[in-house]
Amino acid sequence: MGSKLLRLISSFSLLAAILIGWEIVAGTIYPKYNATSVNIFPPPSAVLGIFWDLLRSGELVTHTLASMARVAVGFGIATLIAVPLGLSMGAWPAWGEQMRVVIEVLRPIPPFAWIPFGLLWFGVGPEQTVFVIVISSIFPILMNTVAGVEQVEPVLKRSALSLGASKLRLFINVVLPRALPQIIVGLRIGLGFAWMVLVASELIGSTAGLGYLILDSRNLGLPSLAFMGMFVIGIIGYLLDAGMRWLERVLLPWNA
Amino acid sequence: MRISVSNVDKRFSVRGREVNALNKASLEVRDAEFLTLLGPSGCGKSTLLQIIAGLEPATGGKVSFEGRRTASGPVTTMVWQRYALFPWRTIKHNVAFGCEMRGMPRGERMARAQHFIENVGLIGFEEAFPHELSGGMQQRVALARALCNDPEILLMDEPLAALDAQTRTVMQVELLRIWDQYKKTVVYVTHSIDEAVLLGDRIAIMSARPGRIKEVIPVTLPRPRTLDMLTTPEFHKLADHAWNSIKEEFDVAYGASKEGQSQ
Repeated sequence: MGSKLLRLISSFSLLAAILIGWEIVAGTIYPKYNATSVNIFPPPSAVLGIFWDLLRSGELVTHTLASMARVAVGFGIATLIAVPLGLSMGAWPAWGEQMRVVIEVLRPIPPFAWIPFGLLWFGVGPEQTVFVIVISSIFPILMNTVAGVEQVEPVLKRSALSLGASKLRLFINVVLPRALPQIIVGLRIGLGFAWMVLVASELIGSTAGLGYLILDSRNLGLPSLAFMGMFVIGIIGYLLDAGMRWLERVLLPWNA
Repeated sequence: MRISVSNVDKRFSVRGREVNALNKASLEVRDAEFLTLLGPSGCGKSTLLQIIAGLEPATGGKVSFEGRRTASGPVTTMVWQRYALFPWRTIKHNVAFGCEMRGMPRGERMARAQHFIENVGLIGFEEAFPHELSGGMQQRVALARALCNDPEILLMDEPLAALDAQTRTVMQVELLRIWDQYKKTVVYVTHSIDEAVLLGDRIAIMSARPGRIKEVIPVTLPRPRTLDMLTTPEFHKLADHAWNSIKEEFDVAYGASKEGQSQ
């Protein structure tokens, strides 16, 4: 147990070194040459200070929750559309081929290109952010679900049929569990995308959220606030990914 | 249960080219018989087995089953060479799969699965996943899974071909022991002549593609079979007979026979 903890701590040593180096450069060296350096390149201590202030005022929690709620809703909608759609495409090849053409045309469009339409259709607010999140995360989930279904080995299907499985049970008891690892990969990538486009969409059309906080920092002339927003985004993104990995291990003990 | 295969044809196209896999293949399999199906590679042995299993439609001819002993339960179940276990299911849930698909209550099917797991010598591996088992053990699971499904006919497509020589020998003995217990009708595809002789009541030899049944050799060795028989003169006679019959087909397949025979 002790060595496990030690290993966990030591895995953050490079990150710690970078933060210490940054603190020395931005906190002690740079201010000697420029009195307003904190407004251009703030040290981690300043970022931590503003983090603490906003945490105490409750503002940070409000914005973080706003952002996370949007991602949760957007990612949830994308999952509810993409997984059944992907399964149907894998199950009915003719339908899958038709859909594939449509998807391959839509997929290369950067999600940000949808922001004007998001604003046009939903106005400034959480709806347009959710819309862009749905667009961004739907494709990786969809493509991986289709790939997962297509990957199911014919011999497994034949085995199941030979053992007396009906078409429906074949799908539920063989195709679905066999495709699950790939579907979860899609969900992981999709969640990553969702979190990434969140900020961009909040920067443009929003009145709350972590992206809005970063935008606000410019209006306020507070770069440490922007850094803080960026860090919170980075850390939450990291935790979300770690959560998905954990889920993968728990759900798929056989997929070693 | 008897199987009657009459004039079965199978054609399919591979990249636009028509392939004639089976041509008027006819075969009778007797009740509770262990029939081994031997032939040059690519002759359509596996295709014929899939057609008997109902997994592939025949282009022509028909397969019929006569003399069902039980009203319930499946007619056929297949065992493959490998990679046919469900990797996300533990051993016991793999073995119980067929019963689960047929709606057997949980308690009953798990008890049944346990029985067959014990019978193939895998006690202690009930909770393991297939990837944690060796190739030989995986094939034991595949056999237990097929038997647990209680089919009237067991169709086996080179089930031991992927195993190393020693494991294969051990598994042949196991297979003989288990078959003696259940006396299912078995059609067993193999490319090993020794295996065909050791296991089979009769050996059906297939021709080169398009495959048909060329010859059926009765195996006169007594049962129960043992590995000692591998060195008896009778075994050699049968193996030689089978080998000569197959060799002709290899020659056809490689186009070398015409000149040799015309002289």
